Amino acid sequence: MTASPRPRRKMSSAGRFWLLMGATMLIGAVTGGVYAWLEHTGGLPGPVMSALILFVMFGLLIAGTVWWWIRADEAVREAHKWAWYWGGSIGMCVGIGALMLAEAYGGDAPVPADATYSSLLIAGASLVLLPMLIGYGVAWFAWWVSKRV
Amino acid sequence: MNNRLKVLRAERDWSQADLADQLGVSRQTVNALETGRYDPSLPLAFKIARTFGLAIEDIFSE
Repeated sequence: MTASPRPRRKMSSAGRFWLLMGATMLIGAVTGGVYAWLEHTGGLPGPVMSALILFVMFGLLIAGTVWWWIRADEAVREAHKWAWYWGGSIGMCVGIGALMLAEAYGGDAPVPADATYSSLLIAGASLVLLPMLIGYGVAWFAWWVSKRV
Repeated sequence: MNNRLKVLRAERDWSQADLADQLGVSRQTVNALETGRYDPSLPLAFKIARTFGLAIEDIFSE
């Protein structure tokens, strides 16, 4: 059988992924840098302006993710859906279990003197989000490993 | 599901990346298909068949 000509290369799936990751980090760094500069020079913008900035920032990130998702092939999508369902769900169970234990056995524990309302809120949210992210990553990796030779 | 993707690709002297480009998927996806551990959707199976100029049942079998 005669060999067909090699096709011309377009940007790879991994290339698009790292482009999105780079753009995400750049947007995060620029937003953080602008906030640091504002805080240093004349104070942070008000809550309405901050919400607007966050709205634009997350809008850009979601637009980038949509761009990437449309171009992702079915196996790449399947890996992420599987990771979201199993890794995210099991991670959420771990996080909620930790919250329940904290509520049951740590409810009377003294709050650190330097704790603020927002720091406690972030700690509680992180207790659930962190296991979800770890579970997602582990499940995503496991899905691809299971499809290899 | 079993398939002849690896043999058909080798007959054409294509790398996994070459086939991935033709199918519009990642190289990892081609690898997963060739191991038989990931079954393609019907649209992708048709695309694979078209790429090799064969019928689906000539490539995939139970």
